[in-house]
Amino acid sequence: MMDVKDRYIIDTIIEKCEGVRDPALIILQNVQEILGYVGKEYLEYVSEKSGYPLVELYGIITFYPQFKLNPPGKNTIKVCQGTACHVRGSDRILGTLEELLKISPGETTENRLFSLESVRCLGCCGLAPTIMINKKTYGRVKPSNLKNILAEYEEVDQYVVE
Amino acid sequence: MMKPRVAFFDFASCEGCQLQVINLEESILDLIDAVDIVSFRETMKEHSDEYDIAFIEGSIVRPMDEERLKKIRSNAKFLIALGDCACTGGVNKLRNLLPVDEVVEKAYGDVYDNKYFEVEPAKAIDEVVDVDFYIRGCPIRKDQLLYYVNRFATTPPHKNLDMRFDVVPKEGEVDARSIIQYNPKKCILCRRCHVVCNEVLNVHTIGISQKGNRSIISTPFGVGLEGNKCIFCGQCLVSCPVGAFSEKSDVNKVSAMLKDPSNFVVFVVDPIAITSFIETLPGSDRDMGAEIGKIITALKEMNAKRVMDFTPYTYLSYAAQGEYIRDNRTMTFSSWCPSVQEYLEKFYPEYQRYTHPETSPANFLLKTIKSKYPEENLKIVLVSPCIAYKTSDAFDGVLTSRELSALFKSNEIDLDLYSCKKVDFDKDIEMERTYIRGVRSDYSYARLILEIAYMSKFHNLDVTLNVTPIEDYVYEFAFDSEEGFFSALLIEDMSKLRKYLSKGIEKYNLVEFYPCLHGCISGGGQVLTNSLETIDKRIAMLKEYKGVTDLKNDFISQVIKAYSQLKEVI
Repeated sequence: MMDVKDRYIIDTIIEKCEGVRDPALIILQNVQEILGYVGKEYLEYVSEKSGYPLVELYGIITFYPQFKLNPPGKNTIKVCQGTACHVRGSDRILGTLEELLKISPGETTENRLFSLESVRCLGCCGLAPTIMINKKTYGRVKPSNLKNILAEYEEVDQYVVE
Repeated sequence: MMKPRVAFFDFASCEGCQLQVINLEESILDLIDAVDIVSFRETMKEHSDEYDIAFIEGSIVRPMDEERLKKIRSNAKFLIALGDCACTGGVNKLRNLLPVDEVVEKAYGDVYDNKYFEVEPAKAIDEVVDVDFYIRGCPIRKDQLLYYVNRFATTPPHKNLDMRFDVVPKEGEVDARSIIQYNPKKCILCRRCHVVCNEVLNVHTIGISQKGNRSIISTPFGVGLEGNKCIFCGQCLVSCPVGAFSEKSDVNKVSAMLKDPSNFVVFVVDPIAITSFIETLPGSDRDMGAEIGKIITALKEMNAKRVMDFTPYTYLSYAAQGEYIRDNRTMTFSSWCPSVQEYLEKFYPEYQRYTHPETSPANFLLKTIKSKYPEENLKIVLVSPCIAYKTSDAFDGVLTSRELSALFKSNEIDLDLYSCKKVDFDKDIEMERTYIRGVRSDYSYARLILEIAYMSKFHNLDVTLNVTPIEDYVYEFAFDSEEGFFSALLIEDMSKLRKYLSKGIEKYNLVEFYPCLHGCISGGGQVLTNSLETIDKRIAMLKEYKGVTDLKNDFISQVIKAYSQLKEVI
């Protein structure tokens, strides 16, 4: 939910963009960067303040994959689906993660601990299949390892691996 | 078995489709494996007139091309049009917009004395000879060509077939939450609806979202039209060239209603809807009076007890508004358009106090019919050019012109089997039938209402009404006399309303505006309205049906009289 702080942040962003031609994208990028995602309330507030119709802003954020409509989890898991990882079974990695976390790529777990993303190439094909959690890369991942890897990020009593 | 012999020919084109053949790269080996290429000017010197399959690229632009094409046709077993120029005439047909001489002059100037420059209007291949198959695209898709060639080499297909290749329909369910439904599988993402909704009407309800082959037209966050700023004008629907939008159909409901003999079904038909209904019938030059007669007969045969005309109720509504203006000094918005009510409610709630829905035609219609027919099972069905009536549950069914033809179709009724004997609407209110609605303000409802207001105050109309165009699509009406205190503003372009609201719109007695182009004639319930020509045709039809009379004293006094009589009844 939006609070005074969020409103203030968005007001400042829009103020800064005054004089910029067609600032919609820049405003949204800033909102995403500072607030972490562009939720429905944020978008409605941006529309109200900047005068851009909501439908146009919604079109922009659904067009660019960089925008997140839902708040991301505390930890972002990126699963590489590039060629090298693909031939070494990355779909099984992704499938196992989906099963463990009970979410699909682009979604966040209910307790907001993990979000799952599938990405094209992490640039370390020699280590395929790879996943990346926050800034840490894991190479030669096996489906059976995943439980242990996730456990590193779990806070006690917040997430229980079956 | 002998391999099929294949020849490629080109006419007026960029030869890019043949280039696609050459660009087949390693698959060209498959091609050569499957067939014998005997003639292909772009790649080889040899030529032979012995071939089974002729691929034709380009369109026909000269008499000498026609001769050549006919000869090819007589040699070939199968003739395949390759690419858009051959299939449809393509870009070459653009020049048919100008006379041939002008085109030649423009293109060649002085050197026009050569037999190769003897051109005629561009034609697609099938305008000259029979075409067996079409491969469309600009340029064609390589894999499509290979598919065809392989198919010919193995099993020759049936003749005269437009085979489209491997088109995967877009995924997605029909969004059927609202009275206007959207089918993403049909949508070609031409964005016409987006432009109408955002740039023409400034309603900003639907737009394009997602990207690539997942793009769809949706509301923000896909919440459905009701939860949004939609005013249900249906302009997205009438501007859609492929029918991706449709209305929530009442056809089954009304059919069932008619089949139950205990129901007393009253149809109220707006002749404006019939102008568009006629467009759904085969052939042209139909007489609207005769068609309305057939419709009335057919509906009555289907157990409708009364079939009424909607128009008198609109007149009553104008009379009511006229009297309101006479007696009140405040501004009022036109009350007959349901979308206008919706628009003011959603966009300018502070102006909502200036609307008077109780003076709307629908209200008069419901009141009159309910008081005249106190039957228990009274069902009122409206046939209307306006889709917004579907949002109200005051009617038991609302049919658009498309749905009316669907109703006849589903009940297996062919109107053309009925006699052209003119049958008129049932009448509850005695009123002359006249055409009073023109485009471009010559006779707007606002004007009529002012005249009614004036007439009911001074009992004559010996005064000039000044019509002043303020800007494009905006007109001001005012009486030019000592007592002339009635004035109205007509805004035909709804996006301009905002400007006038801030400029003191309260000084007018009446403000009329509407979202549909030229009003109800292109309403959301009409069939595809994509040109002014269509609209003009419909208006001409309506004029012929109703007969055009000047707004005379006696017509207006008739309206006023009918209204005061009705006031006693209801």
